[in-house]
Amino acid sequence: MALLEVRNLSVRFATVDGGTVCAVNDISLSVDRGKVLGIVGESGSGKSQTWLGVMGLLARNGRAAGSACFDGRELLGLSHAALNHLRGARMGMIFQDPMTALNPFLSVGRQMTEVLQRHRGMGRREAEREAIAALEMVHITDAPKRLGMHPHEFSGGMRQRVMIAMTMLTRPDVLICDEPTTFLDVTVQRQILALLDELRQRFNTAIVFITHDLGVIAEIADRVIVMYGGRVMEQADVHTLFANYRHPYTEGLLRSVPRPDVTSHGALATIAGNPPDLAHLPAGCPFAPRCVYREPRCDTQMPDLLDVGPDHWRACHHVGALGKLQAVA
Amino acid sequence: MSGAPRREWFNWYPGRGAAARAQALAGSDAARGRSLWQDAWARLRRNRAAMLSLIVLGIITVACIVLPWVWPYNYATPDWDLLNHGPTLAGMHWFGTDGLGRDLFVRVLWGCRISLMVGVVATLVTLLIGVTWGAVAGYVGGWLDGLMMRTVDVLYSVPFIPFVIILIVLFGRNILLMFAAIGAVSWLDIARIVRGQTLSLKQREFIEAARAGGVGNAGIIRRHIVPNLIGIVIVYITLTIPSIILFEAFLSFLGLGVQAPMTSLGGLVSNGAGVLQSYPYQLIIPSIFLAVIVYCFNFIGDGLRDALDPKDR
Amino acid sequence: MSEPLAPPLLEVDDLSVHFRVPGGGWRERKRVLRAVDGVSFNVAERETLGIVGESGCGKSTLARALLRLVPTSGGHLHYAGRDLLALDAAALRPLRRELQIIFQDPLAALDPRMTVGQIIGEPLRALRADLPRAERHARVLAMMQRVGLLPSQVNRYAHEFSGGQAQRIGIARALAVEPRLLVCDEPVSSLDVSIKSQVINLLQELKAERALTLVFIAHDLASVRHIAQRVLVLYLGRVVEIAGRDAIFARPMHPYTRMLFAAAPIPDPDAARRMRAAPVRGEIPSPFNPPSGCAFRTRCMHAIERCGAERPALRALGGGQVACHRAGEWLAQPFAPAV
Repeated sequence: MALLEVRNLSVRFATVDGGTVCAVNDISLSVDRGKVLGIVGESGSGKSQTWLGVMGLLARNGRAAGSACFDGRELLGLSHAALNHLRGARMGMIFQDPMTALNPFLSVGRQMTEVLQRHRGMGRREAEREAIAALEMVHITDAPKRLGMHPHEFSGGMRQRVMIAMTMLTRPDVLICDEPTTFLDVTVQRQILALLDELRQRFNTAIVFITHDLGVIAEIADRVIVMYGGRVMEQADVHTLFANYRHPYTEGLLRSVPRPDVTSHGALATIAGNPPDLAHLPAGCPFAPRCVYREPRCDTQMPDLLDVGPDHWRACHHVGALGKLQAVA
Repeated sequence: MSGAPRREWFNWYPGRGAAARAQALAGSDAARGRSLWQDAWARLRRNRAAMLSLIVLGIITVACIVLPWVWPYNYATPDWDLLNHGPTLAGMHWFGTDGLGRDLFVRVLWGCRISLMVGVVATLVTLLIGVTWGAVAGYVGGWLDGLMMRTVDVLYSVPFIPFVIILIVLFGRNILLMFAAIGAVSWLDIARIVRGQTLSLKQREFIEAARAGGVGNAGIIRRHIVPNLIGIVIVYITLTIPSIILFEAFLSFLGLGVQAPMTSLGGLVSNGAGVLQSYPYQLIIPSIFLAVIVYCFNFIGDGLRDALDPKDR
Repeated sequence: MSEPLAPPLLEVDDLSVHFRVPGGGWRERKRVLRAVDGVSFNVAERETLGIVGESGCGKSTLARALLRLVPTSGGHLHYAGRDLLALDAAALRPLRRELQIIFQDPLAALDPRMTVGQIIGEPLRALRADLPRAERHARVLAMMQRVGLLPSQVNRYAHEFSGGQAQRIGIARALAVEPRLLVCDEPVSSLDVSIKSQVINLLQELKAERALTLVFIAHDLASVRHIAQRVLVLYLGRVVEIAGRDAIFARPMHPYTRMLFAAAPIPDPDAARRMRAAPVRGEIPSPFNPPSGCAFRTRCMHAIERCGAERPALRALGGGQVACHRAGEWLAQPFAPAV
């Protein structure tokens, strides 16, 4: 059985002027122990809100509906206290900017020992030893000295390591990483990705990796979910998705980004238009207005997520082959 | 929103006139955008407290400007037959009369008029000095910034109330002096705020873009810095006016305000306090007006701050 | 890469930008940040030069220095044979028409109190005062149409646009005065994936149409590989390697270039997993006190004693230029060694 099962999850936000923003629409997915689930999407795809909804961390005007079952326990509708405990002990979350999650006024050591004392009932001495071990685990050299330092004294990459060490203190079953490397340089990103992979193997942690970068997805994910306009467009294991994608949006993403390992000439293929406005989503497929394979029914009817191969799902009405997306030379 | 980019390149110099080409391109009904001001106004309109305050303040302002002209009594003429007469509808003494038989209603209107005027004029003095000082210090920077801001620090350490009292005692009670005295000391806050804003604006990329586009320093201040300061300055104005009104009331209460028989809300409160035991209405009525005016400004200021704060979006 | 025959449009010689930054404590001396430290390169007319490097390598400062938006501390900067650093503000103004820039954060680069028409028209107003008002307005609208905005949006405000559209506004503003050289400071790095390629294509089309010379700064290797003809690699304010695009990607000579290239994520799971083997050592040191000699030596597995003692000069090697003492040794080998 999967560690985390999300069924028909929707997230809605009420706006100030009385409208509704449909950030996530009817999403189902599952996360397995020891695997990396990659979530790829652009801004407004709902990729982050899905997980904030699952974790009970939505902004005050947001509501999640549906079901999210963690290790046999329903998360939606759980009390604040119970959710807090689960988040601290069994589900960790890492954000794009670690400074938002670290307290700037407390030393890193103090913040780490507090977590250990609260969640694992350790004494101060023991907690300190454990905190040092955790920093060493994320390859921070000179760990005992670093315990006394404050978050702003670390570089961006180091801060993200500290954040990972702190989240891993409670040995969570699932680690949700929301664009953890977006602000980092490629060299540091490579180090953080390697670290996450190492931790996954060592502790059999399930990782959910949210990103807009297909290169990162290719590097770290086992399974990939492609999101657009708050819906799942395509879902497959990473090799299938990159070699044998079946959704026009996936095609667009893959065909339009230049690659660092191949020299491309002439104009790049593009997805025309702009990302969707979540307050005014079309009735049918959210990608339809930008799709080159658009059919009349795409505008009125959202296609179901159907399987197109072993463990390969997509939501699209188009039946023929893809390959129409070409560079406008 | 936009379709695929058009492929043809536009010809700069075809036969037709530029205006005609512009017309053809934009269409005759080029949509007007919603500026940040319009957005802010829309948000302010949803704020009930601020809108109510705006209406109340509007009524008080109009009343204290118009009514004294048409009222049968004036603020200075005593009626020796009606001393300390309580509020009554008969004989138009709605708020009663004071110890000299002067009509309290018209005196309260005059009091509001003077208090509002002191508040507004002194705030304008504050603005003129404070915004210029802060903007120059922030934009020029370097040693000039250091010098100007240290000057502000030194002035901050001058005990403000004794300073104003000494000025008034030395030069006599004079409403112009009062404007100058209050304005001269309350510009320090706004100078600091404006300097801070200017410093952060100066580093924004659109300022760099303007410099790359050949806009000179004067143009950058006029076209980019000042318009972006207006929001915070407006909020500050609505919060400074009531504090200056209160300060004027305080001076008047001490007997250092405007010269009798002219009065202000502070002067009225002061008079009323003297006869509190026997004629409480003489204290309560002007106090209510003072409180309402100050509340209104504060509510409007808070409303404006929320409406102009981009973080809200 | 054939050598350009015409004299270079932009000549940068030993250019430095040093900032004096207050020290940590109140008694500490001001520290000097060498954001750009002795950088030399040329850009030929109609060429696209890509500049890559990690954050803190000085690439944004360099971009601003090329347009004299930050004060320089030394070196020379010639544009079309004229010494830019010798000009005062008034003399510089006519040249601003020829040198323009677009910024990384498209929304931050637009004044929130102005309409799109005012924004795009501003450089025209300041630099082409000779044009009648109506003509300027017509140019603004034509420019909007060219970059893919609807001319009917001319009276809208910047905050009503998405990031991709805001960048189009930035491009229209820069190109309205018909510059010859356009400096692009990470123009696509804050845009959505599907918008990035639109903007890159637009820049390439405009470059071809208007015979532009581009200096394209990015940390994203893929877009540089796509758009640039030559690539310059910066590390801690210094040039470590310059070479033609094909040469440098086929055979990066400097160990830092190799590390940077190997770290770029590839959107292909098989290739990506092969690349995983390449480790990245350490992090970029503080620019306040860069290592002696070669700045990269602390992270370089090929570092020898000489690297700490002597700062390697940029020298011609294998068609490009490299600043590495040991690069010559690898030229003889069939494959450059691993990072």
